[in-house]
Amino acid sequence: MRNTVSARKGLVSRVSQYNELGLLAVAVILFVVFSAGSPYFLKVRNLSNVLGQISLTAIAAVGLSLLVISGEVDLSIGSLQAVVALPLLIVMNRTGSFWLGVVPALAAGLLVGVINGLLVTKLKINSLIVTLGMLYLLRGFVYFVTGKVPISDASNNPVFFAIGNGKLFGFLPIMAVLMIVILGVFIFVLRSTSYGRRLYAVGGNPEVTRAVGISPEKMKFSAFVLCSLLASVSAILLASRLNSANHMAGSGFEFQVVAAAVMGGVSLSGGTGNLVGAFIGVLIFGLIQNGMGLMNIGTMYQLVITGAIIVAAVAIDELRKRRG
Amino acid sequence: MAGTASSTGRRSIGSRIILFNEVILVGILALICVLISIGSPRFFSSTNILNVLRDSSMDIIAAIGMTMLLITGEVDLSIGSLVAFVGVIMMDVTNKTNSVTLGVLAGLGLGALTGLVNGLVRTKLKVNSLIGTIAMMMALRGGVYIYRVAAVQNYHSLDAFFQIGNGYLGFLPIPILLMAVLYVVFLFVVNRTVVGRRLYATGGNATAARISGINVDRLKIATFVTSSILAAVSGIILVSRMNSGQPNAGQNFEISVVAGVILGGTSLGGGEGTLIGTLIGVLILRVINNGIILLGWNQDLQIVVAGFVLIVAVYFDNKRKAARAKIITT
Amino acid sequence: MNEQKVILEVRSIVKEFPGVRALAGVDLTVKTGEVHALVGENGAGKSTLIKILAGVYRRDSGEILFEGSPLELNSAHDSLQKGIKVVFQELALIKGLSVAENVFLESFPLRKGGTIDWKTLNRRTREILDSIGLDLDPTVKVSRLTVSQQQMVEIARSLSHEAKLVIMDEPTSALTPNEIRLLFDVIRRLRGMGIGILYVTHKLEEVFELCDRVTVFRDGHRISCRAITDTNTNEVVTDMVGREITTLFPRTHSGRGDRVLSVQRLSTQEKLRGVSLEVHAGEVVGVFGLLGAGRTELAKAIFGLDGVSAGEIAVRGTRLRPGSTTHSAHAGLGLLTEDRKGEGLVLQMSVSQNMTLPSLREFSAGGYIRTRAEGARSQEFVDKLAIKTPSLKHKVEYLSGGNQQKVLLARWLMKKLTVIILDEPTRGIDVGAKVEIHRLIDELAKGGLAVLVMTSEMPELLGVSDRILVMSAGRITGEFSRDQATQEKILAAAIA
Repeated sequence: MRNTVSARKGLVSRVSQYNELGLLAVAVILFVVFSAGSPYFLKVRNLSNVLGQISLTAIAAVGLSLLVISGEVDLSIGSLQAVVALPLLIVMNRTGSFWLGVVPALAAGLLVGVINGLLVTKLKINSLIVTLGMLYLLRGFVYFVTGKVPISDASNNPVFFAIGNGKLFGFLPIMAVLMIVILGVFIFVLRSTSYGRRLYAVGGNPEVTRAVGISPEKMKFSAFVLCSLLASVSAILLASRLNSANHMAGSGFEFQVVAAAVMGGVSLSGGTGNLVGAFIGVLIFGLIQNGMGLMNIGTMYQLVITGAIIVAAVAIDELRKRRG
Repeated sequence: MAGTASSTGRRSIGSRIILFNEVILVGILALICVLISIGSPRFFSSTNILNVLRDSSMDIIAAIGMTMLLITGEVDLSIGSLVAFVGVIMMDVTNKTNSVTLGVLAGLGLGALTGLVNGLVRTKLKVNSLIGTIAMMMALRGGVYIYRVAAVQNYHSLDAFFQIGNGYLGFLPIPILLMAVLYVVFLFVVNRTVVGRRLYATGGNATAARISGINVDRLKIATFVTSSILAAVSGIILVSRMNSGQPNAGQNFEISVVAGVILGGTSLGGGEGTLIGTLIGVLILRVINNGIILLGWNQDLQIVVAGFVLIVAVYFDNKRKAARAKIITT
Repeated sequence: MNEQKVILEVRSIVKEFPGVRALAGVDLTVKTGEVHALVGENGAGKSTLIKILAGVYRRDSGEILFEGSPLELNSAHDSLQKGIKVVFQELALIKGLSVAENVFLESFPLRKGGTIDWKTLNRRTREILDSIGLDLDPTVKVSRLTVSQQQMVEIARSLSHEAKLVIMDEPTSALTPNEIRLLFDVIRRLRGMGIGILYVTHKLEEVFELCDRVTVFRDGHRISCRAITDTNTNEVVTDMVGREITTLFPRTHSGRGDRVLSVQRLSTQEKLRGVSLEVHAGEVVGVFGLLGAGRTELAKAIFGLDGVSAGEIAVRGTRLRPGSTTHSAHAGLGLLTEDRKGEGLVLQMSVSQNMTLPSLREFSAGGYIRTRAEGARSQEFVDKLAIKTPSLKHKVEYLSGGNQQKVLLARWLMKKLTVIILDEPTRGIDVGAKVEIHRLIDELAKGGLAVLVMTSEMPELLGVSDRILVMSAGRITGEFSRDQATQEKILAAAIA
């Protein structure tokens, strides 16, 4: 007796399949709109700027997406931008070496990831709360340590400058190359490794994975660490762009990253979404911000609009969940 | 651990945990007060106590609304930005119309509008209130700077304006009086009225509430509006005290209020919480901040403390719920 | 496969929870290559035993022998590793992953270098599916499969783990007759492979069609274990019930008044397809259906808890606004939900607070609640319904299931209702409380209420109803008066 698959052919499930295509379409539309709206948009310099700017968000979005797919969230990545820059600048100024500064910077990020991970997996505190508390805690810590005074690059370190501002072949930002590499690596991990597939399982139904012998706690912990590590890479790039360790760096960053990822199909309830979609979400966000800037819309308006976009993205995500 | 407790035994353990909570909190408060006064004898001076209470009044007024909101299972993180916007608008309107009443109405109106939008985003768009009010926080913060980039100074010199935040009724500062009145009123509403009962039902089990004929959506919207209006009152007191409408006011206000409310025993999951606990929780945070100032420590530690308290408070909230769950049979 | 060995032997298993002895020392054996039925009423202990075998609960005492050696199960993972696979009603699959990924979740076949070997993964999954006669594409995401297909994937998982004992818990509740036949084919193939199957159900017709032996549990004891060929339905039912099948249902109400509730062509997006019915004052209408028929959906749609895509509901001639519970409540409707903890009770509130929730206006003066009046009225009902609680202020979450249900009933009795809808009012409640609730239903009808009862228990249906409606796949497929109704006719309509 044969049993053939009769896949549900509803419109919504078809649409969810082509989620990434739909997003790409939106990105293309934005491209067209902004090209029409401003003569500067299509200039090489502007496009390479956009590429560079989205690199920061994209790299953090990779880490955040991994975490959200596993069923948790991290709202402290914005404050982390300020925290990680501190040891980088301090050590770099002392020793004159960028690479020596990178080590404690990444270590600091790693430490925060470990703390977040432990608080959530061992003490079983809701990740939204833990990382929200960390958001404030870390920001306050940075204010405290720096006295709200930015630490600038005392030695004009060329490597430090190049990382965030350098361009290959005159137009390809080094940041973008880093982004592409990281994207490539993690897309591969999510698609083709046991770890990646199990990340989805843990986010989709943690008890089932436990019954199969996988520890959801260990998986989530690793995701927290990866998320912070990647956010630390963004932080280093940001510090390079700002040429300093700024106590205000990354304010509001976490919400941009979350909104971009959610828009890209990474649902906050876990277990679905992929990095390609997240990237397109980041691209869309980046295009909007760039376009708004070119059309001379003030940053404060951008803040308002970003807020509205976040609400829209989550509302649509909710709708998707209810229908699917 | 699910032992052989009889049904009466279960009950007394259950209520014991609740009472325990408020007693512990008062104990913590007392302990902190003692510790601070050891470091700085100025703590127990009447001026200082009055200052602490006057500062707390703004927190407590907003915390009343936040408690009610949390009881229904929602939260509002936009109150910090709202406070700034209310201050700016109120000063601006008072300047332009030379009427404190109109200024107050404008401020409260903004509060009501914000609450309405928050409520609609939650009930109609079904967006989680944490995210929705964070987005509102961003929008309001952007909005206030769009409205006015620099602080709005006082061009009207109306005495009524000054009195709100700085005046006295006898020996009692007006902010404390306002807080006391509002607190008593809402204490009554939450504990003794139909509306209060419905708040707990909505947060405890929204479906059960709906089956019992409660219009959950409408109730939540009303609670959002009330909470924002109360936050607006805090904003009005603040602008009076600062004597200028500052767009960057209210930073991190929301986290202190939420941390204090949760510390006081109101659960994030909804359906539980008391205004008494809130009062003590908020006071504890305020006293800690006061201690930080008196002891000459860096004031930025205040946010660090708030973030830390939030995490710790939720941790204990979880433990409390787990302990209760063990007492019940599966 | 002539040589049948005992794969599982369970001896004198005891499991207690506070206040309840779920298993009072039960025995059970399952042989290789056999389909062994485990039957019993609600609360007999079947699911407790399954959970122990699945590693979810720990037994208090007794032994488990698997393939002759003693077994200690400390976790769900343990159980799976030892070769026991339980297929629960709530399917344990990862919806976002493909069939193949679910089947091999524990250990994916890997290439050199550590990445997943998709070819081998899909091929081996295909092989397993073929061995049980299924033609499913291994790369399809599980979320796109029907419930029946998902069940098959779970069974395929058991094969990938080389399970020797497969336990199925009420597997056919959500299946169509065709799908049930498919499932039986698969089970027979598993039997042919020498796997032992423990088949837990309350559907005796399936037991007699599919199984080799049947064990009956009642109230935590094993009552009997017989070969199917040596017994018949009546004998099994008597064992299950322990009493004469002719249980008396109290009926003192008679006569019916005007039509009070009228439902016309009610449809919802998900399930209901043009349901029409009417209930008169003083009448008890029972609605029967198998799982998935749409009874709960109907109850919720009438009350306004769920949205409606077409149709009308009217109470005493006034049209109700669909999807508005406040309107329904004002019109005099009450709803006792199936899921009392999840949808009916506010667990953190007290007994009296839960009771008075829809009636607060009665006890309030200008918004202020008169707690003494509230308390007095609540006490009235606590006495009347014999609710066991230390006090009115006791939090409702500490009460037993039966008493919780009584609190909910009291809630509706307290209000002056016109129509009451009861969804599975005696589910999970001990026999004594059941009788009391049936008596109450009778009283409600006597008092002139229109009563609509959703139930999946045939004896209850036949005993309580004046008129019986049968639902299947979102439609009404049969209507019988009390005298006309027989179990066969009803079941036939339910499977239609």
